[in-house]
This record gives sequence, C-alpha cells and structure tokens, in this order.
Amino acid sequence: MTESNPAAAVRVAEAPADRARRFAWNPGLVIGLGMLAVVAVAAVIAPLVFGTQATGVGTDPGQASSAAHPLGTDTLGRDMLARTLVATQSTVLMALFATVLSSVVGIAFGIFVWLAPRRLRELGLRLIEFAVSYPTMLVAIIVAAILGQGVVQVVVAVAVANIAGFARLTANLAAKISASEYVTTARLMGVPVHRLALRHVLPNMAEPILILIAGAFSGALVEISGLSFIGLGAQTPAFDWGTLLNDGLSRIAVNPIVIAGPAVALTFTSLAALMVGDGLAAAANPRSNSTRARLVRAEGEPAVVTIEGDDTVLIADGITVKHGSTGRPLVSDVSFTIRRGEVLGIVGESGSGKSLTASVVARLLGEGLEASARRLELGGTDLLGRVSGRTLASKIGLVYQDPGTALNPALVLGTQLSDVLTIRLGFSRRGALGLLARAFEAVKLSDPEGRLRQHPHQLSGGMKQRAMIASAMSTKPDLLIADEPTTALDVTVQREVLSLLKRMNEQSGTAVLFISHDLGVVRALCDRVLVMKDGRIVERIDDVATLSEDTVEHPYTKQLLAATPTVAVKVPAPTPGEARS
Amino acid sequence: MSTMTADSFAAPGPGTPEPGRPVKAATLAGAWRTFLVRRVAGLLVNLALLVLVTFLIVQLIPGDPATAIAGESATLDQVELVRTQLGLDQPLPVQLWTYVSGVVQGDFGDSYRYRQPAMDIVMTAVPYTLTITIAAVLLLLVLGIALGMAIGVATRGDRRRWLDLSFSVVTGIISSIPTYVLATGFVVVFAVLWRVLPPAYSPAYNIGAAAILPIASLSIGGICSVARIVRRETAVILEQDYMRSARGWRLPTLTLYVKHMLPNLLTTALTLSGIILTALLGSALITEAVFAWPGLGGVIVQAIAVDKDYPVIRAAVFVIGLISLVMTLIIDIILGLIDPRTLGGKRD
Amino acid sequence: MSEVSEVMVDVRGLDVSFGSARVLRGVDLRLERGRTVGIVGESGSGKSTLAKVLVGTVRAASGTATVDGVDIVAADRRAMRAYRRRAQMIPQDPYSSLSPRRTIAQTLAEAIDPVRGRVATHEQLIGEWLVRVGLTPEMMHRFPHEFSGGQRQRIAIARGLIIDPHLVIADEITSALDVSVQVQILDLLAGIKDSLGVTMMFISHNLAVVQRVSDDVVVLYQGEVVEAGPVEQVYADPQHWYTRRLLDADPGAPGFSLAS
Repeated sequence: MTESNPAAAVRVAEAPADRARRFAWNPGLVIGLGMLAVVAVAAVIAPLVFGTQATGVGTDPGQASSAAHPLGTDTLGRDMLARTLVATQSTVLMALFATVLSSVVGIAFGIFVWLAPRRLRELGLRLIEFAVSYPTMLVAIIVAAILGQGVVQVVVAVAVANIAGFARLTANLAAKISASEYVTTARLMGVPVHRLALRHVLPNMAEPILILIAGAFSGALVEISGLSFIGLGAQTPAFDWGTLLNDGLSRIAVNPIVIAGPAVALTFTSLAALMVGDGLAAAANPRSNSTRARLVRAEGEPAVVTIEGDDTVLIADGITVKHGSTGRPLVSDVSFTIRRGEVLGIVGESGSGKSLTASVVARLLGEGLEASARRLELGGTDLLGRVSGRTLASKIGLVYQDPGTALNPALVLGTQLSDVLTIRLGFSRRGALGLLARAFEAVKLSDPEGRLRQHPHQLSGGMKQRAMIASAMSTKPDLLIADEPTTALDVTVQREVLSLLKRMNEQSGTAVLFISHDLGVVRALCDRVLVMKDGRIVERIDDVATLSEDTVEHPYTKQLLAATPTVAVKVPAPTPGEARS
Repeated sequence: MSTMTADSFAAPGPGTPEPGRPVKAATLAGAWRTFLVRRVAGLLVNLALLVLVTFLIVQLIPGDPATAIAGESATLDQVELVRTQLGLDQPLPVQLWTYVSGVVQGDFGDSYRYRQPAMDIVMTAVPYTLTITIAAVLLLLVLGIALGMAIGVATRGDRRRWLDLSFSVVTGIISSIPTYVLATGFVVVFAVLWRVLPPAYSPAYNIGAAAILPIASLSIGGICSVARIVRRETAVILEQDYMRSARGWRLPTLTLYVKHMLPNLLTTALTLSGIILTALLGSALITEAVFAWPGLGGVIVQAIAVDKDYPVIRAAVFVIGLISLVMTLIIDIILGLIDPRTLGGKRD
Repeated sequence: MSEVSEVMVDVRGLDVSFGSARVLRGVDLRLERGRTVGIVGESGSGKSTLAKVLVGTVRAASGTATVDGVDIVAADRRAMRAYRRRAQMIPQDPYSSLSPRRTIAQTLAEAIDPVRGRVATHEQLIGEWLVRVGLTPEMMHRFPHEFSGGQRQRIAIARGLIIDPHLVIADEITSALDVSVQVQILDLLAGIKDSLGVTMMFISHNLAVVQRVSDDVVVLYQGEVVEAGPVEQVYADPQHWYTRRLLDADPGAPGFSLAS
C-alpha cells in the first residue's frame, strides 16, 4: 500500500537513521589493503627481477625444496618461487581486467535497466535473474566453449560471468534509492533523470558497489586461475598461478612442494580482497560496541516510604541507568510505587528515559547499560536479587510498542504465545492453547482457534496488539507493563486497544505501568502520571481528572501540555457511548 | 444518532468484528497456490531460456563455427561434414526448430568422440556430481549454521572478544582458499604424505573413501562462509523486538535460541544457500579435475578443451542449468514451509 | 494561458486503482486559492494517494483534477513537467527525505534550479530561507545527519517553499516528531504559508494537528470523501458516523474517555 503509516515514521524516528558519516577505518581493512599492496609490488617488480629465472631453462629439473630453490623446481628446472612471483603480474592483471570489465558493463546495464521504460525494465530484470541463477563458473565455461582457450578469452569469460551480479546489485540499489523520499522529491522538483542518477543514485550506491568489487576481484582471481587450472585458461608459454598449480598437480606424488607457491599466492591475494571487502562493509555499518547489561543494588536513604500491609504491588526506589562504557546517565534516581488495580502513566518525549525505566522494572535492560536501584520489589519479590524465570514470567506481563516487530514472523501465534505457559507455568500444550483461545476471545479477536494457527503477518496491527495483550494477561501477572502500546496504531484502533487495557485492568485488578508520549492518552487511561525529562521525574500528577496548565507546577509539564494538540470544538461533541454504536 | 442509518457504508469500521457474521481467520492455501503457479511458470520460462542459450553456444562461435569446431587441420570435406551434422547449412529458424524438437525428446545429437547420444554420456556423469555436491551442501548448511549460531550466541553483546576475533581470522583464511587449492592440499596431506585416503577416483578404490576428499574440499570453505554469515545474522536477530518479547516471556535459553531464533536464521541461511549452492556447483566442476572424479566437470572440460564435442557441451550445460533451477526451487519451497512470508516475495 | 481562477484545486469523481484494489473512489475536492485544507484519514484511507495524484506521481483511472488551471489527469508530459514546479510536496519523514550525501545548500540549490543546481549562484536566497525557517545561513554547508529531526523538517519546508509554488502538499510532516517539536514546526509552516499566501493541502491522521493549520477539512475513509467543510463546523457538528468516530477516538478531543 502507498498509504502513509505512522508506525513506519515512528520506527524511523527512533532508529539511528544517519547513513552518511565519517569513514570508519578498521584493522581488517588496513591489513587487507596492506596485503594487496604487497601483491601489487610483487606484480610490478617480480617480472623485472626474476624474469629470466622464471622462464629460462634451469639446470636442476624436478627438485624438492632446497636452499637455492626453497619451493623446488619444475620439470624444466625453473625455480618455482621465481615463477610464482612472476606469475603474479599476469594473474592479477587478468583478474583486474575481468573485474573492471564486469563492473563497468554490469553497472551500466543495471542503470540502463533502471532507467528503461517499464516493459523493458521487467525484461532486463528477468534476464539478470536468469543469469545469476547459474554458477558463474558454468557461465565462464560456456563463454570459454564459445570463444576457445587463451588469456583474453578467459578474461572475457569470467567478466561476462560476473556481469549479472553487478547488474543485479546496481538495479536493486537504484530501485531502492530511487524509491527513497529524497529522490522522489527531487524528481518532483523537475530534476532530469540523468542528473538524478549522477547526483543521488550513483553516490549513494558507492559503498555496496565497492564491497561487491572487492568480492568480485577475489572471485575473478579464483575463477580465472580455476579455468587455467583445468586447462581452459592461459596456454603455454603464458602462465599464471592456475597453470602453475596444474603443472604441480601432475607431479604431486613425487614432488608436492611445487604446489606450495601458487597455492599460497592464490590464498593470500584472495584473502586480501576478502578482508578489504569485509573491512569496507564494517566501515559502512559500524557495529556498536556494547557490553552486557547489569542491574545492581545501590546504597542510600530510601525515597519511597511504604506502609506495611497496604496494597502496593510495585516499589521502585532510586532507579538509575547509565551507559555502560561512557558512564553517561540516562535515568537518574527515579522512584515510584504502584498499587493493586492502579494504572500509573509515565509520560515524556524521546530520550526522557521512560522506556528505560520500564525495562529496569521488567528486568529486560538492553545490552551495554548499567542500572542500579536502592529497592525494587514486585508483589513481595525482590527483583534486585536472583529471581527465577518462572517467577518473572508469572508476575510481569509485557506489551510493546510495535506489534509488527514484537511477534516472531516465523512462528504461528499459538506456538510463540503458548511457550511461556507450557515451559514456565507448567501447562499442557492443549491446556495452554485452550487458555489462549479464551484469552483471545476476551480481547474480542474473532475466530480465536483459527488465529492461533496464523502467522503474525496475516493479522492487522490492532489484532496483533490484542493478541499481545491477551498473551500478557494469560499468566495473570501482578503488573502489566505497556510501553507505548498504541503509538504504531491508527487512532480508532488506538482507542479500542486502550479501552481493552482499561477493561482488563478493571476486571482483573492487575496494576499497569503505562508508558506514552501522549498526554491525551495518558490522561484518559491513568490514575496517576509521572512526567519525565532527561532521565528525571520532573512532576508527579496525582489528580489526573483536573489536569490542566494551571494545576501543574513544572514549566516542562506546562510546555508539554501546551504543545499537546487538542481539538477545539464549540459545540460539545456527542458522547462516546452514542457514537460507537 | 446511535446507528449508521442510511449510510452507504456496508463495511464496519476498521478492527470492529461484525457481530452477526463471525470472521474466519485466513489460511495459507491461497498463498501456496499462487506461489506454485508463479514458480512453475518461472521454471518453464527459465527452461526455454536455457534451451536458447545452449542452442546459441554453437551459433555464437566467432567466424565460421564449422571451421572452428572441425579444427585448423581439417580438410574442407571434414568441415562440411561438421556443418551438415550440426545443421549449420540450414537457415537459423530451421536450425532452432530442429534443435528444440530434438531437446524436447532429450536428444542433443551424438557425441563426436564416443559416437553415442551426448545425453547418455552426460547422464552417466550426473550421479557422481550430484553425490558430492548434495553431500557438500548438507554438510555446509548443518555445520555452517550450527557453528555460526554457536559463535553468534557466545559472542553476543561483545562477550568473548578473543573468540570473535579468532573465529573471523580462521574462517576468513579458510574461506578464501580456492576449493581446488584446498583439494590439491588435501591430496598432498591425506594421500601423498599420510596415505590414508585415495588421491583420486578409480574403480579400484571404494567409492565412499574416494568421495571423502572431494566432499571435504567442497564443503569446508563453504562451511566457513556460511558460518560467518550466520554469525552476523545471529547478532542482528538477537536484537530484534521479537527476541525481546521471547526474553520477556522468560523462556529458557535453549527454547529462546532453537525455537525462536533458528527459524528466522534459517530463512536467511536458506536464501543465501541458493547462491552458495550454485557457486558450489561451479566449484565442483573444477574440483572434480583434481580427483579425476568422473562427474560433469570432467565431461565438460574434456569436451571443450580437447574434443570440441559440442553436442556433449550442450547437453552438459543444459543438465547443469537444470540442476541449478531445480535446487533453487526446492530451497524456495523449504523457505516457504519455514517462513510463509517468503511465498509472496518477488524472488524468482 | 488560462485566466487566474479563484479555485486552486478542483477534483471531480477521481478514481485510482492499484491492481484490483480501488484506492480512491469518486473523490470530489475543491480548494480556493490561499486557503488550507486538511485531509484526514487513517491508514488505507487513500490520503497519501490523493497527494500523489495532485503532484503527478500517480495517474488517476478516471475523473478530472484541475490544479492551478492545469488538468493533470489529461496533461501530457511536457505540461506535467511545467506543472510540477508549481505544486510542491513536503514529505513525511525528515530522516529519509534529504539525501545523506549532499549538503543542505546543494539540496536547496537543486530545488531552485533542478538542472544545474549550482550552490554559488543561489547562496543569497538559500541563506535567507534558512533564516526564515529558524536556522542560520552558516548551516548551509552541513550534511543532513548533523541536524535533529525537527531541524531537518525545517529544511524540508524550506525546500518545498523556496521556489514559491502555488500549491504545497504537506504529508504527515510532524508524525515522526516529538510533540513539543511538532508545535514549533506547525507554527512555522502556518506563518510562512500566510506570508506567502500559498495554497496548502495538509495531510494528517491527527485531527488536532489539522485544526491548528487548516481552514477546511476533508475526511477520507476507505478511499471516499465522507465529509468536507470548514474545520470548525465539521468538528463541532460532524454529520458522518466515521467523522464522529474519529473525533471520539482522538486523544486531543474534549471529553476523550475510554469506555470500559
């Protein structure tokens, strides 16, 4: 569908979407480039220095390793080390030519396919898919069968075989980039197609194409040498690593050392190209360095005073979260309690630490974070100590922001949602599915048994979130933590899901910790509200019913209230009960 | 006010279950049907293209194909004989028609060298190639996924950096050794130095023993490549929301990884294995040469480099292409079984 | 050329289908010059498709759509090319709508002159516009990743308005932003729009946001216009059940409460 989806936007807003950034050098890339430089030096210098040694007839044929000939000599007495080094030039040049040829033709073809009118593009894409579904080696052999054997033929053969790979990547990338909003917008402004290609499409393809080139070079090297190895490539007197290896193979039983040179040379060069490729990929997508999460008990005076024997479900005192490696504080000294049957809202904007606070309470802190608390108790269980998975599973129910990603796409609902019941709570499989079916019915999902056999992608967003709530409530938890559960949903669906949460809360008396960025939503659902900003609670609102800019203290809360869009209606709107029919 | 009186909207609002008519959850039967129809149609198109490509192998030879095939030393009569045998004296459409009607009956003409139907020669070699490639693919997937997943889990969130580093270095080096180099190395070590395994295929040896080295050299590099990819993918999957959901259900480690992670990992691994598989088939053609393995590689190389035996070349190329197509189809069907979302995908 | 009419957008009986799915069905829409209409609807309502028809990236199956005197359903390529400069779109997502490899100045220069796009020739104008959207001229040589989401949306607004278009279509431009940033962007857009006297179509799923910038509102539901009129009137006295339902469900609506 082309319809804009708020969920997509929210996801993007929270993902680290910055693609352009400084180039991140890494050791693999540096070592790989260094190794390639060694190969390049050998390719240039070796023929000048060892040229005669490598091609002239020597005196000691078929020698094993010796001081004079560390890698032995071949049947004509030529030093294998010299021959290997000299063959660097021909081998690398052949691979290089093949790579250049295939990348230039492939990229041009890919761009052409992308620019072509729709019919032609479809045809081009089909052709590319057809070509890539065959082994490159087979394509190379076909071309060799057509053109015959020789250095030029083998270069052309391998180049032709690799064109499809480049064409496919280019066409795919071009399609992806040209579907991006910045290209669409530029096109709307009237930027001519060739300028679009030059300004937007090609520059943004650079990284993946470079990675593919590194891989293709390694592939071409191996394929060309392979063709030479089976006799379809360089013919005597020309020689490359492949022919040297082939020569060695025939004498492998008597003088195995002669294969060492070409074997090591091939592996070394191919490894260098692979490291460069991996290094470029790593530079393009640097992985964050994070360490495992820790939750520890902190010392200090408690900020929460509880009366023994009251119906407090959750006591959270002094929750603090820091970034593990930098020590940057993300949540600072957050304390609150929740009573049975109560809905506590935490409201704040991105980066306020509201979700982190919830993840500490849920004992699901992300990797690379360190958390501490003076006290964290749920229904009498100390969450700071060792708590069994069974206890956590039965005491805490969780509902997440995006039902589209929170469910496992590869498993049917019945399978994934029943695991907690069968494994942690000792239900039989049949019993668990029966309980889920009843839970699905309670959240008004049609055909509950049928839904249990469906995959998540077969359900709408609202239905998925209902299923998540049903699952979270199926363990009869003491506390339900809902982290922005309706942000990804349409407003009418949001209302249904919120109503459902409220009904569940009222019927079962389960306490709810509700995280949201929307004061309007929080106001309608919650009994009490905490306002968070930059990791701190800036305001505690106990009387939600009369909430207005006049009743709150903190300037940030006032600002948030003022910024929250409201619908102004002169005539009172019809009461909800009537309109919902 | 409370009812949707004279509204033209028959359908209720989004997400509202209609009270009177229970909504049935959809099944996957429809998706499978469209998938199979599309794939079978795609297979037929690809087969047609394959026939065309094999036909063109002879027609595209630069200069006069007949002269090139007969060889430089051939007499004029010999050249003409080749020309009539291949039908090159006919107009192109006629040639294509003759070729296609032959291919439909499995007839690619007689081999010049063996004076037998080319297809028979190719079919004799097929089981040998399939034996080592299928064995190698299975090894590659099972061991590659197991190794990659184990390392991925063990090094999650930057735990055990030394393991991560040594894994990358070792698999990096091994996967960049060309299979035929590895094969040659194996021959030196296991057949020449240690003399524990036969150096090459020969009817004298036990075929099982002779197959060990070809299968090992074909699969080891691939195992490392697959393990590297799976290790990276594991890291990605571990950070997905649905894995957080599974952790939120406090599932035990084994359930977490085997039941909730593996199916998603398999989707990626199998998608890639299509590519790996065709690459493997290509390497097999060359690796066979090292072990004198009587498979398709030997047949096609002999036919090109020595005999210029074009009927055999055509038949061999057709059969190898057919194997690639069928294997890709099988993988896509397995993918669809594991992850039905791929059924609707544009992969073909 | 046709004489300047008071009607900027006149859409009649517009049908759009993607394959067998009918995305827009018989849509009628009239927008006077200088006014702002809010298009409201949920996913699947067809509101983004309507925008795409008006900027010429989606072709209608039937119906007429006259914008600024050009019949864009019937127009040929050349006419469309000229037309496109007069109707600009501000896209939804501030993170993907700016090319990551081009500076802000390059992006804006391209908007001014799509063919040559030389920064040097237009530096003055670019600097002025950056100030106008609340940034500084010194920022023009930076790359998008150096800006926050709100700042990027300011840049996107500058790009949409810098060539003085007759019609601006803003597609969910605040849905990816925090509420406090959202307000700033809305007020900025409303201010610039008024000073330029530009006609605007403001697409959003949020009724309150629409009210903040729009004179009129059109409610789309499953590809059909179910209600249209001045915002105050429609919000105060909705005639269609779906409009009422939307108003009930909007957390910003007075008396928003959850039936339990």
